Amino acid sequence: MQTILTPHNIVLSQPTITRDQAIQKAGERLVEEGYVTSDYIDAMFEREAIVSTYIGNGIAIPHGVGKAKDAIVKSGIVVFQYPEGIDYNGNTAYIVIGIAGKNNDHIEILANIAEAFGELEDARALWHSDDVNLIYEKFTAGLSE
Amino acid sequence: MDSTIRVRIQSFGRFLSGMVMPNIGAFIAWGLITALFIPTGWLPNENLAELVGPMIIYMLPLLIGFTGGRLIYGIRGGVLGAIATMGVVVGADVPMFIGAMVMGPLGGYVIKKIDQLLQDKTPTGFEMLVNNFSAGIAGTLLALFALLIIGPVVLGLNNALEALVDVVVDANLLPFASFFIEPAKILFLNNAINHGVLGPLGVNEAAEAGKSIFFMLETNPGPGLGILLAFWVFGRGASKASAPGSVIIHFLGGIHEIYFPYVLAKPVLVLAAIAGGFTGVLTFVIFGVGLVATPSPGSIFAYIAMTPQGDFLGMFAGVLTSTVASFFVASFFLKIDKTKVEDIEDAKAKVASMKSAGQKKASAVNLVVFACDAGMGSSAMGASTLKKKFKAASVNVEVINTSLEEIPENADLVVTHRDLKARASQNAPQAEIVAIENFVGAPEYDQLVERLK
Repeated sequence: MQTILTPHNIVLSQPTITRDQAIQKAGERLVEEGYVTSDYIDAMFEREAIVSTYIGNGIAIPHGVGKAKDAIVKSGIVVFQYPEGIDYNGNTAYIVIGIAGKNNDHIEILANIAEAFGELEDARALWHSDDVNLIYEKFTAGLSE
Repeated sequence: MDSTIRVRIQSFGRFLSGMVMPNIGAFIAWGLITALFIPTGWLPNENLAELVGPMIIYMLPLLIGFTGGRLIYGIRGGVLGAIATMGVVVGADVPMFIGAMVMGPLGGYVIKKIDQLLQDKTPTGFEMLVNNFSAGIAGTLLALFALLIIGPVVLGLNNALEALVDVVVDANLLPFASFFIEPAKILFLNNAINHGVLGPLGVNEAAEAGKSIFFMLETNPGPGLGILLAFWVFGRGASKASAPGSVIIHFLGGIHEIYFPYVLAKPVLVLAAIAGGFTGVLTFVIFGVGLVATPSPGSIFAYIAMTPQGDFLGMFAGVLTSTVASFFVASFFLKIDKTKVEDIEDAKAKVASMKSAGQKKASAVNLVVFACDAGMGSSAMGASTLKKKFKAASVNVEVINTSLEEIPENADLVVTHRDLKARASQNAPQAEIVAIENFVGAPEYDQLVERLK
């Protein structure tokens, strides 16, 4: 069983908050689940200051700067859904995905996420989906372990 | 000239100069050692002159072979390129530059293909073993192949070329080479000509005679200087105002590209360039002078540094006469010209588009790199999206993702966030940069697919 993304870390229907709160929340979850040390949260804000992690079609993927890789214990991904949208550097993000990646073992999941959100129509369905398992299946499709 | 042919020659020239330019320092080192210590040099010294032979026979071709292989497939390609080059080097008693320019890239290409074949078949834990032995075995075969087959062929070509050149030189036809060289320079084929053709000929000759006139055929700053001076005196508007600055950049800095726009703005001035080139070469021939190595860039300072003892008078005379000749011809055409001079800025734009015409075509893009700050998030998602799109359209181009600092040198195209564009071009000056705003669902992906199909 892969431990990078678990259904437990896909959190739906969150009330709208600010961007900073959303990053903080994603970061804290990564810490609570033992993926990163708390230094990583600062690195996430640092990264956000360089370039926005909003990547289009309603998703943002806050993560740390490259040199913060030491703060990563193991690769992990946490997903938060904000059906009303939050203001993310001028764009509206509906899905905020906290990422801590090491050794590229999280890449398959990222590829699945990229595919799931590639078309605006598909993305829109996920902004408002209330089915954790559907999202989990989509994000982890084809993963062997 | 047909523009697609020009583009091909340009990118071929760029590849050739990509093999030679990084090693110019080594050529100059060899040139200086030769000029100083050979029996006819400034400080004849038998002991130190022993460097001359091995440096030109082994070091320079191996460097070119390594660089050529590296252009194709990184350091690993370079190593194979050097091994393969060794095969042509030992088979010949002349410096094997053309052989190195063939075997270096070939070595890189072969190991690239072998790696692609073995990539999926290598059991985990055996990568190092397989990598080292595949390179070792391929290198052995390449070196033998080069020694037994390529060496004799290149040697034959070399001899034929030399015989042809001898005929031209003996018939005193060398000045007429300017009729081809000068127009080709204006079309930015300068590097292809100098580093691809004249340079190797010059090195062969210099190895025997200690100097060669071939280094002077394309690099003489005189013809361009004359044209710029004519604009300074008889030009109008922006071209007149910018001429003095261009003179400095051209003559002292050796950046000949600066005068090409002036000629392109008034194409008839190519006659001035030819007149200057012809006169200069004629003067060099009469004085019997040469240079010890390629003066690169073609600045008067490089000329002075590369001139062997006793050749200064002839060298300065050739540069001076070529300047005077092109100055008079260019002045004549500028004075009889009653029409408004085409704006130099327009011509510069034209130049920029001619230069970029040789940039990455679909066939030249083998590796697309997605780069972002950490290489763990956005770039990974972008890379997987584009990979899928390429696969769907059966575009056979490799896509990887890295952090900005780790962009490999063989990246042809780098995709990055708009705000990181400057950093990306700093880290990958050789690559074309595509700046996007959204890593998922960016319209640029489909454009790339269309382009690389």
